[in-house]
Amino acid sequence: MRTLGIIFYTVVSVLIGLFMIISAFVLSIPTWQDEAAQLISDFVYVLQETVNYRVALGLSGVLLIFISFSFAQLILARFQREKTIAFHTPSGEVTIALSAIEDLIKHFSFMIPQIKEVKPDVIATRKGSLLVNLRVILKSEANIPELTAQLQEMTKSKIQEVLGLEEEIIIRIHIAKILSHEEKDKRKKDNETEPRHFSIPGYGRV
Amino acid sequence: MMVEENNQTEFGTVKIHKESIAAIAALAACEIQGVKAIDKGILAGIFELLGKKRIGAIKVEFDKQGEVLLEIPLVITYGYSIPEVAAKVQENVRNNVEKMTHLYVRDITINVRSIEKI
Repeated sequence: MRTLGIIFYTVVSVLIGLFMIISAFVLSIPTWQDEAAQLISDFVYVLQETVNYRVALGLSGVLLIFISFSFAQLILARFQREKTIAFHTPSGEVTIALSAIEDLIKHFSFMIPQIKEVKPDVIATRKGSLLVNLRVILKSEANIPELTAQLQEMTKSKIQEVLGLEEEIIIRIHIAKILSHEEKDKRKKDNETEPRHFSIPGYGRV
Repeated sequence: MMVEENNQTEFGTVKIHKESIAAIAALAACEIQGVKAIDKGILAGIFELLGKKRIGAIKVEFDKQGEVLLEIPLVITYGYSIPEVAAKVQENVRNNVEKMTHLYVRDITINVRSIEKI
């Protein structure tokens, strides 16, 4: 089906391309311009007059849209399949989406209190290793060398534990931002200014 | 999921719809600790709007010998070992489908789509 889709799209693209080139060529020659215009008007006239041709044209459009969607789905499925890691068991294959590994990292990284936010990006390299890029926002009191070492160790051991991976795991950490005290105070103030209790007219607090 | 698997008995034909096999697989998969849900996929909303029942996005296929091929997309609970959970799911799904339908399950593919907390 995929090969058929690729052949179909190649043929359609080539035909459209050829049509455009020929149209441009024909319309650039003054003596052929009238004939080309006549041909187009004849075609439109035939379409106007014959119901069957109109139906055929409409159905061709529907078919083209349907094939486009099928083809897009195939490409998307292939794209999605490439974004996974897989291993085999006696009962079949187990594939793990790289986004699932990203979910995992997000969950356990908050066990380190100095981390404010983590944005992981997991890439499976062709050599079979796993490349983990972590974009981290830290709180100001964090000791960066200690913390990054801890995060790298934790990420590696958790991925190995949960995924049962024996392949090499490369972890790159990018400290994107360190929150200053001012920012933290501002956030605290914002939280304090937010009303915590809603008073209902006619009712007092006990 | 329009195709059904036929079993000829002395009294007639027993047809097992793919939806039924998908339902057995879904229930068997969810019995395993560490499985949070069957991932419904992005088309789930559209199917629900159309009023069509969708057992997650479990794919059921039959090969030329009439053997079953299953593809199960899973959401795993955070903290569980994926290989262990996947192996248990494969075993439980195989046992249940084979016990209930008397069809041979040739292959069970597990797709871990995401990891969520309880």
